[in-house]
Amino acid sequence: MVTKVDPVLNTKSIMERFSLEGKTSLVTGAGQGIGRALAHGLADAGADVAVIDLDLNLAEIVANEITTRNPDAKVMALKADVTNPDQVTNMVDEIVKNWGSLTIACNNAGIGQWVDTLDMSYEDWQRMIRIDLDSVFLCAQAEARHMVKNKYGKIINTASMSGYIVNYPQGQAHYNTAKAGVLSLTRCLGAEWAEKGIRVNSLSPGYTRTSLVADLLKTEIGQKVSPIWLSRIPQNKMAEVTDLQGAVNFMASEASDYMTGSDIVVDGGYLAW
Amino acid sequence: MSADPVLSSRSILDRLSLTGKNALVTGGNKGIGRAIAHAYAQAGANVAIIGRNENDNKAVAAEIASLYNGIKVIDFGCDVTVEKEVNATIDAVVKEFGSLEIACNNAGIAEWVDAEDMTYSSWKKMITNNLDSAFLCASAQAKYMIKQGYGKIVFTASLSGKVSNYPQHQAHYNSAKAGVISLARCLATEWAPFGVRVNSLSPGFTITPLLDDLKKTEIGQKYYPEWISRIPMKVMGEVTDMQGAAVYLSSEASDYATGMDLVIDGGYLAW
Repeated sequence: MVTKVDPVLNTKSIMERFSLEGKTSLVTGAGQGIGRALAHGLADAGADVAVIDLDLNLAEIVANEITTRNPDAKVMALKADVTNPDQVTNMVDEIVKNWGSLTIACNNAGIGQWVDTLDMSYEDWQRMIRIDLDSVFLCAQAEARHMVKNKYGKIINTASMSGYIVNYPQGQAHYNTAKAGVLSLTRCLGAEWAEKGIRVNSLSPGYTRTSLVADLLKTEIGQKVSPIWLSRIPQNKMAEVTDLQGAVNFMASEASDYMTGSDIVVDGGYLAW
Repeated sequence: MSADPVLSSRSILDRLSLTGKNALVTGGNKGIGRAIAHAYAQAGANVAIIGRNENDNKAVAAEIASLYNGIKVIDFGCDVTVEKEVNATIDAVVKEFGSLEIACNNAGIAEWVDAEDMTYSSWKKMITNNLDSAFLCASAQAKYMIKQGYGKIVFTASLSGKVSNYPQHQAHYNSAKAGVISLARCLATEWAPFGVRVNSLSPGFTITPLLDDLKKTEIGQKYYPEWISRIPMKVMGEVTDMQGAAVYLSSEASDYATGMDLVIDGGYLAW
């Protein structure tokens, strides 16, 4: 009889498995907000990080910040419009050309918009689906075409609790639908690429105090919606962008290699009510 | 203006560490519970091994004590379905450690039986062991955690809480695990104002000594290929595959997550 090796005594320490030392990563929409925090989190754990944004200036600022905080990390700033297939392919090629590999990809870029459906133009709808859903398809496909060669890769898509429920009181049917699409796409790709060693999971943040949201909260409409939002969050506060780093670092690490097609909700308990 | 949290937060690896925290794991003497107890110790926590079999508890406690430096390991025999034993055990853990930050309520049993042949006592035994125990433990733990203003409770649920397994019949097990996922949601909202976070971990098919034994039986031989065929990754999880999720859910890095379920199933639920 073959005695199976006890994995508990023969696996690296969990803290070593959380480490991203020697791994290469990219984060789209990393010029600000959640993406910026995720890029910092990956670098904190030892990864090299490509900071991708539509605004190269913002990407460069974040890249410099990362270098200051984590001087050992290799960092590059890249401009890419993640709704443009050629630019997405070039983005991945550029990283692989410079660093030889791409192990971790956070497809995080996205936009928000509040508009009641009765007033929503077809352009509004199309723009939202293109930026928040199509871009995830384009990025994941380009990334996986590379990852499949190494039979290993970790893709993490930024979805939202809005993929599960309808936010209140703001109207955003297109956003919620796009994010539900991201959750589904994550499941589909997780299953499709499971045997190729590529893991695909998503992060669903609740209300998060990004700089954009912080500015919004100072406006008249922000003052009006803020108490309504807080009253629906069991923790009675919004997330800081740093509250989302742990989930993504976990999904980017070896510690989650049996996880795919799954979603981590970090929402202060919002979905529970 | 508030400080930029990105630049003022500690490194994420520090926030994933459990150094200086006191943890307990029920059903900590074998299978997934033992793996989680090891992971807690690896991440720097003091660990209490809780289980019915005191010899098995002591064996795992000794294993952990010999492997990891700078942490304290204790063990308590406890039947987590008996209210008085649960309360006494949690009291004892807090007395020994001084506080309790992390509780992994993992103990449970399994059984296959067709619902039309299931006795009521079989149903009740399952609900008592896999659901009532989670309530009893969490309730006793939260009394301390609420006073501390901080605590992390992690339930071991299962993908069986979300789907009906095939081909084996286990209506009572699946219902109990669905109950655990719901209980985590309920307690999370109730205790959110007190800083107590409650989440669940749902493993898929996992290779444990129990499952190894099962695979040797005739029915195990028959079911095994069925199970594998329904897992996109085409392999079962190792107990070590559950460690990362448990540590994440027990760490400060997940302080804004509550009432959620983290599924680690090789993609099973996606299909």
